Amino acid sequence: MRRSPVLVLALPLTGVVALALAVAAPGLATTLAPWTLADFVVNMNAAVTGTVTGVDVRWNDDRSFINTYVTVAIDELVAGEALPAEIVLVEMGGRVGRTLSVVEGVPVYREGERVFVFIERVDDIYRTLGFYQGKYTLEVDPVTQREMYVQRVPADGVVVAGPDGVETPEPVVYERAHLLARVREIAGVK
Amino acid sequence: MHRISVAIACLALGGAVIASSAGAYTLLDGKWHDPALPVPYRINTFQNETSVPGNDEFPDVRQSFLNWEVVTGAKVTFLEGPEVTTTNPCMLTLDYQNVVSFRDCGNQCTASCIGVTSSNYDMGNDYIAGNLGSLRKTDSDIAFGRQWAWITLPAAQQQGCSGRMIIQSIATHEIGHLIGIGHSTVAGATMFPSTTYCDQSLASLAADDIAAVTVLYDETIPVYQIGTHDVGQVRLGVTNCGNVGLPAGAPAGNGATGIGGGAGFQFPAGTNHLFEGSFIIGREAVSDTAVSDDFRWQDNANFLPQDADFVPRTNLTLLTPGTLADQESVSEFDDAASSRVGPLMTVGATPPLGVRVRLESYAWNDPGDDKYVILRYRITNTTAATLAGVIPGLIFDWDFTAINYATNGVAYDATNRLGYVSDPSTANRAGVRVLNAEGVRSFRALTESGAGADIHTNTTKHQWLISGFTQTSLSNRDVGMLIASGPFSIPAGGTAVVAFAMCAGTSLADLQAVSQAAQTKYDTVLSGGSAVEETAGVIGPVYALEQNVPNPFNPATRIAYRVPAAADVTLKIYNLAGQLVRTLATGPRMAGGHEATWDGKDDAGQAVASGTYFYELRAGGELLQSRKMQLMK
Repeated sequence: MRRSPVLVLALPLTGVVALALAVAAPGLATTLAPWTLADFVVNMNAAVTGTVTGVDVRWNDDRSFINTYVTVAIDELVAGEALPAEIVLVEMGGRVGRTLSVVEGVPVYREGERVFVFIERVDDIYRTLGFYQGKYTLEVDPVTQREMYVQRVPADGVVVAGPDGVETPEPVVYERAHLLARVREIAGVK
Repeated sequence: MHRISVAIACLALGGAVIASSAGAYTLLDGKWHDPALPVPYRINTFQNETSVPGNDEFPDVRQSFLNWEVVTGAKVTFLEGPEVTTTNPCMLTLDYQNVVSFRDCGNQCTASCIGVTSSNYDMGNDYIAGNLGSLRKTDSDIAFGRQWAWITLPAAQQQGCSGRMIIQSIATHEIGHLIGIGHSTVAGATMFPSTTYCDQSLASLAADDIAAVTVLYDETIPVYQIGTHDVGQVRLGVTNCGNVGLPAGAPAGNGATGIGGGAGFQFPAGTNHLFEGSFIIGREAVSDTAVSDDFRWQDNANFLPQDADFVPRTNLTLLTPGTLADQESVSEFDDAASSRVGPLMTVGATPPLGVRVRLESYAWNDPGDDKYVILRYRITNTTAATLAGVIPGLIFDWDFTAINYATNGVAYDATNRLGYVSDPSTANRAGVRVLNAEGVRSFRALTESGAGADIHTNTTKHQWLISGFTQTSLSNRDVGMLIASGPFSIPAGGTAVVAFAMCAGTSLADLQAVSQAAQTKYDTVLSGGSAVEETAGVIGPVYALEQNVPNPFNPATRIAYRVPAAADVTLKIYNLAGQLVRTLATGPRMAGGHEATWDGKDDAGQAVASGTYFYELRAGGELLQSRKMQLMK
């Protein structure tokens, strides 16, 4: 066996997908921080929807830290400042060769994933605002066929162990149209 | 990260979760390895950006380390090094130093982040292990967000606190991450993932925190150890944690000193043929995908490290010479860590089966017996109920010579109950033979990398365990194999025994002869047989399904079985495809011994073909035991 040079951290899939909940306020789940949408809107540079077209993991220039570079093709600017049609989010951590660096709470992206993201710009570098709380994944409710934005807690260190095995907190779920409308409303976008 | 609007953020490696019926803590997948050494750390006083006057926050940080160190029963200590007074080392960097900073030099703890812990790990060039302590943690750094107002615990107690974060509270939480503890669901615990301004309680460890650090740094849990059989022509690494054939070089620094490094499986000495190998155990039921092993986890989306289900329970003792062989080892492990998940393994963890396993390994240096090592596993059911349909085995990723791994082949020799590997570059062969009387339950040839590489999850591993002989050969690729015996029905407290011979030969014929010599040695010197043993003093139901006599047979054979109490019993015969061939017994049976005879005919009265058949005993519909027999015409 030869090892792959890149590790893409995976989303937890064992959690209960509470898609039946049309709207769940953030912060109610045990391990989610109760930042409100308003907190995000106030602190963001932009909020966008888009598709992840690439995930790359590299050392920084002086090989002191590993970053994960997530390329997002922007579908829609929901609120905030104008952005290029394609941006690269620089997230902390990842694996290069034999070295693994992990930051609990940093959002995890997968190629092909459709997302809603609050973005902050720090020193001309884009990244997800507020760690994993700033990112949602678009999923289709298998029952209603409606599009929902789902936020799951990354498994590192925030899963809980029960007597019968492993459980993960319930995800935060918004109806797609509702989330976008709410963000626009808070941001004053007409 | 944050809380209040703030949850404490951390960075830490991927997580194991040790299922605890009482506790709600989580353990991250990596701790400081050498229990004899303190964990070093340095405090960065350069460009201190907190609002605390002077450097008064640093005594609070030191006390935070002590909060963990004083826990009775946990072997974790710290050693403070020189203060960092210059720009570097910066926080969150891979610099092999553990640094606590109040200076966010990388803008990495902004916005909602009040504290962050980052950890780096060396997975090694040939990362294998996958046990608690298997990843080599190289450094962890802690930083605090400069956007918050901070206050020390003594100042808060003396002067009051309003709208500030208490350093000792947040630092104690982050240091918990530094030593390998994840978040807890117990409100009020230090490791609970949210807090409020002025919360002093986190500076005092709760019972859940104490349980976590005690489990992670339990003074009574042996360290991971490797022993190497080296008295014969083959070399084999064995461990006290389920791994078989750890290659040389892995995993240095994990406490393996004094026993020897991993030899992999070498023949001749110096030429390793294993990338990794592990004991694996699951159950027969199709719906029960709980599998415990220390083999890799890999699916289409992720390359993940090992399943890390086993925990050492004794030290590994290697004796040369031994009592029954020229070299012997003995050690024990259990599957208590089977529920672990984390960023490296985020899906599919399953609960432990509840088994404790004793590995006894034997090697000889006599000509004729010097090209194999016997591994005997005694599997004890530690649960309160019978474990039915238990299938234990071994799973390997071969590199039949590391250089030629991509052109290897794998095949199965039913006559010798032997799975083996080959490569066009050499006439040599290596393989594994099942020695216990139950024979081979399943053999699966695997592709370990390249085109068509197999997915390795609990679901696929379970499928391989129960699927019989659906894919028994592959060629011209990076190969692996799973070979399993059973199934066993193990009563509470009872023990089942399986044995394998790791063999090598200069040709296929030589390999087969070597495996036969191993069988003879097992049957004579190691008492042979198999079966489910009862533990002394344990009273429990005992069903027994004996090996058919004679075997192989023609034209008829007898099958003896025993039931402990009156029960509805079925005794059925299946072919290798899993098709029912003949029902030998069905209906109520009184307690005691019974016997059935099979005349080699199916239920329609037609004589069946020569070959291998399974017969299985069920009571009340539950599979109790299955065995294999050979019809030869």
